Amino acid sequence: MAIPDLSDRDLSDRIVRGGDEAAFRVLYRRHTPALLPFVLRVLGGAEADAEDVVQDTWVRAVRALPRFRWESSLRTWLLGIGLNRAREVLRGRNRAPAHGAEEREVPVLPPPTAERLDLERAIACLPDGYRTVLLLHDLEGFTHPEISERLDIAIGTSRSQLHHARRTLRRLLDPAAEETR
Amino acid sequence: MNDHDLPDELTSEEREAFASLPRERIPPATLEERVVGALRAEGLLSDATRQRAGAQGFRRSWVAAAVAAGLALFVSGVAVGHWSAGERVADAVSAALDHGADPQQAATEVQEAGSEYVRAVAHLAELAGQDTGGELASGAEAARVALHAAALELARVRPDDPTLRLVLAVLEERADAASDTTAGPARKTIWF
Repeated sequence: MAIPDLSDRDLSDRIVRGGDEAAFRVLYRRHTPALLPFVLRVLGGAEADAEDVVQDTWVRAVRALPRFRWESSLRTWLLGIGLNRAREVLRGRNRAPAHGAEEREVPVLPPPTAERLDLERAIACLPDGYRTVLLLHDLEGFTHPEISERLDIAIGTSRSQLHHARRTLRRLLDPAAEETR
Repeated sequence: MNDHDLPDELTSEEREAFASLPRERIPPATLEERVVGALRAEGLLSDATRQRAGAQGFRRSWVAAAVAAGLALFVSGVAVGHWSAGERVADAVSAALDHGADPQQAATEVQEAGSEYVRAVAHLAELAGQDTGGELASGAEAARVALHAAALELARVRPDDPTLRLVLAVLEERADAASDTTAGPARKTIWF
């Protein structure tokens, strides 16, 4: 069977056993198109950071491949690693003096006269915590217990973050309509 | 209480809007090489692979240097030309850029073509001393066309290279100038 036709597991075996670069490139090309936009959204649209996170995600994943038990799909596992790495970057940003010592909880709202934002831009404007929960729940289809486990937060916190995220998002997308709700 | 009992459940329009967001995106080509490089540096990809990749890197850099040297000779104003030699340079460059080509063989071909090219320069210098203007002009035109083809081939691989863009601009300027002098001497191939 040609390398591009091999399953994720067979490709991973080749990488673990012999550091097979061709097998890695197939795996990379299969999953990076989904990994990149996911981490890009978690990071609020920072392209350079997203590429760094993708690189770190693959390095961590290949290191950990021998211990991966295949209880989930490789893609789900990769997105989990990417999510953790992206959150580390967000925490680093929030620790940087330019952003102050505390996590940013106030969204970067457009000026009052701004026109409606498109959904992608509005998501990027959300505070980090809101955005992460919203992406996992409304885009990736995770449940609150799953989000709670992945982000190491209480289920109630996940629900609350989602509630605030959606309200903020609606306000960003259509300020006039949200006023009337 | 499950997830959908929340008072702010998404409307159908909002669900559609989320569903319409692209889930995939083609990553930049440079990112794959960065990632592979990082894995090699960590020792997570094999040495054998590194050697193959190294040969390819050698091939690319060697070809770039060979073409740059050839173009520099031409752009520096030396009126050179030999259709066969120029064509061999272009062919060798194409072969070297072809992923299926053997890097050592491609490198040798480029080197041989380059040597022939240098011999052509020397011969044309002699011709210049003998006032054979027609032969010089046809040789220079042939060299320009061949080198232009080689530069375009390289530009396909490295479209953002500023030096290459500059060289192409000079070559295209010369092509325009050449096309304005169609009443010049009859073209004739010179063999070395």
